[in-house]
Amino acid sequence: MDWSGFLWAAADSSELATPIGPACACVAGRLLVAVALAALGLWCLLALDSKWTRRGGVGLAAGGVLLMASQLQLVQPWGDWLGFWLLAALAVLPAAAMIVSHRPVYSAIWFAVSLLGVASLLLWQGAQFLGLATMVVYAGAIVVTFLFVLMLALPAGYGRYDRISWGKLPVGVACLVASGLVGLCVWGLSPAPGAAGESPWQLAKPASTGMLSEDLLHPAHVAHLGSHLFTEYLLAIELAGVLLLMALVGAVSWMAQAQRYWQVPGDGVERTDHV
Amino acid sequence: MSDTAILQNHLFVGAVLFALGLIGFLVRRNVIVMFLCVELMLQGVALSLVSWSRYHGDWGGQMLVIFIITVAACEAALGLALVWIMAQRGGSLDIAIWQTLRERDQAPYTDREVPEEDRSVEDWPQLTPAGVEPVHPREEDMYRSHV
Amino acid sequence: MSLLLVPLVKIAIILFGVMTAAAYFVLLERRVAAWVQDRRGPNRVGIPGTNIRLFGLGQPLADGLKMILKEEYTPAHVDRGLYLLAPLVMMSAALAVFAVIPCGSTLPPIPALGLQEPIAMLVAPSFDVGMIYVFALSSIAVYGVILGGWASNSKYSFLGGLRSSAQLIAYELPLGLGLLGVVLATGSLRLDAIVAEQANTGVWFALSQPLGMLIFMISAFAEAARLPFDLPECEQELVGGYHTEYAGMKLVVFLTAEFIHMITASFLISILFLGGWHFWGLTGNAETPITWTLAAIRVGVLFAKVFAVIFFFMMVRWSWPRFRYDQLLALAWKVLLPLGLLNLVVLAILIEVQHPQVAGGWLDERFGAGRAVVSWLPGWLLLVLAFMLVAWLRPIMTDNRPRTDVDLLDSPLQE
Repeated sequence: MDWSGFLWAAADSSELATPIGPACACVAGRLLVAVALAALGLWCLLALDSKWTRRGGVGLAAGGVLLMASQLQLVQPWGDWLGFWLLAALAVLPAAAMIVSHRPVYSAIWFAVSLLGVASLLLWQGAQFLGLATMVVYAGAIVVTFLFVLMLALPAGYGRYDRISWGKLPVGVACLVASGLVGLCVWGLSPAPGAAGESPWQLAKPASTGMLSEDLLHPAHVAHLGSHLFTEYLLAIELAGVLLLMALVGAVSWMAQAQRYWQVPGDGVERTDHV
Repeated sequence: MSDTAILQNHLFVGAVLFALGLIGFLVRRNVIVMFLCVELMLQGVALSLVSWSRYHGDWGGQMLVIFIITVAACEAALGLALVWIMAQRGGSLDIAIWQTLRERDQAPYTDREVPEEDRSVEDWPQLTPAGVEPVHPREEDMYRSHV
Repeated sequence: MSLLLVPLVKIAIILFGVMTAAAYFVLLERRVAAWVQDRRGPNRVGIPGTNIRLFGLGQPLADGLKMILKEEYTPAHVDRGLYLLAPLVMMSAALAVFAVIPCGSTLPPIPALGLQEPIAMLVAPSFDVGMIYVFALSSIAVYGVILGGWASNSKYSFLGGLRSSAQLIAYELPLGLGLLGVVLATGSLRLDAIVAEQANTGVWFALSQPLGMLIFMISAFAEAARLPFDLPECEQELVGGYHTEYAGMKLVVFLTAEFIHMITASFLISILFLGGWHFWGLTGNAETPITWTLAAIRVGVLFAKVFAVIFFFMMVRWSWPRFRYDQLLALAWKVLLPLGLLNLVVLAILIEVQHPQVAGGWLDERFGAGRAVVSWLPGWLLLVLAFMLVAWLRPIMTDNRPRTDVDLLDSPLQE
């Protein structure tokens, strides 16, 4: 019953040489329980619709996720640990609320709150520009566009198709697969016993935490980001600009074509497309 | 080492976000909510990329996230234009109405029949006829459960 | 612990100051409106409980009390969660901007309290992406408008919310473009660095980048939803727009948030283009060692400029008619955005040309001390060129004369 051997073979890990002992099976067992709990909890939230299944689902899913998180290394000063987990909760809980909510407008709002959490985590990592760019572009423009289309296309606020899903079995399979993926990720990250602090997948050690980190975490962040962006990645950024232009032209031309499609001929209204 | 701990925890959060997005995309039927779940998956990936970038001190991760944001913006613009046109033609934002989309010479394949909506019982708001004062139940005057 | 205490004190001062300022600027607005319209404004409410009039300075207190004590009902047809969330989001976004806006330059160290370094008069001094933070928060403020319109579950509110949010989003772009010239000239996104640059060279960006300043000011008017971009709150068209269904404290929160947006816009204009705390001859430049007198003078100069800009905002409101909605959006997308791009390209070229290794050395030799003046001139030339371009391509926007080509008697509007 060497499940871990099966998983090793499945991952095609020729360079991994960490021995697998009985203590590792204990971690794998805990992770299997956590995966099952999380999948069950999410299934209750998504496929069933009563007050108690909702509360039970939240409890089970939270229990599963926390059990998985307890297999990871702790972030050291307790202030950092607390701050990190609060921001992570700000990112994850609204995301779960988003996929569970029956009203699409609320889903969009929960997504925006989750973006706030993700942006804070990016700021925590020292990526100042990216954190704020996420807020400006994603939360400020993309989700607002989503809201516009939602409000105009669905004035009632929700449809019948928002309350039912594809059925209980596909939902269960989806939850199980996704939780399994997260469990696999945690199993790869958690330290294997006997190999002090090393993970089964042998995370590559950082090349040198000296100079490169200083550049990345430098106080004048935007200047350094800009210098790398416009020298090493110049072609990519020019192509990204062209892509944005293409998307703009494409969206406007589609809507113009669609307007002509919706024109009712002969109603005497002269439609012009300029001010 | 604290660097590894930070990396592991951030990767875990990224994985959870990705998994939630995946579940949402597979489970929901509203086109726009499916789109939002795709964006959630992209956020999970962005968080993981930035974590790796910090761990290795390499700018590549952050650059890739810049391009992810750019591409997500383009895809949102074009996708929402398409969704709007589809909604106008199909009448609703349900993705199941497009199940029979196929090539010209293919037979239609329906995964699951979309049940017909029962439109006979429409819940329209009831307005009192003008000029006649409606009956006021006494309990509502004496006690209101909310403001 | 003092690491946490200093920012908390700054936050407390800013919150108290901004909320009081918002209340008193409402009084100022009513007095300015009255002055423009040749009448007196509120001048009777002085010290409460007495007969002392005190130029109506007690009016904000009376207004606040009235709004708090008003009956605050939630209509039965609203979407309750979003109805409560909308004013909160708008107010939080409006207040949070002040974390990166400097209210002065620095204060000298206070060894008695254990503070050995000069204290920056800025809540978050080491935040390298200050201006992007401001943009992020103005994008979040759009949510308050959209959600307020949608949650109210009524036609006027919904349309008003959509129109207002489309206006706010449309004007975020020229706002950014007008700002980018300043960022290019400074090399940093931090507001205190931008003021330091203006202080060091002595040339305010209003003098060297007038087109950028014009674009930024017009966009700031639109972002604050002030006349002439007043559609979100005009009564003649939309009843109340997105805040039709709101009453009592929630309405106060919406209106205060709008006023705080105006105050923020004034701060940004003063800091980015009018030199911030710098005044020639009075305040020294960024390297002058700081003393308490100098700090006080700098704070005074900055606040005088902010006050002047707010006064300008108010005068504009009572002087000009408002834009029609399609004219408003056409101005943003078809005029301000191309002009902003033109501004950015030309300024990038100019700044490169003035670099010491390109032509800066030659400029120094040729003009010496007058180099500062010479570096202004291309900006003004660009402004004139931009105006001529707009006049050529869209003459209706630059021509103020009454139209004689349309016979008003035959127009459908007369029927």
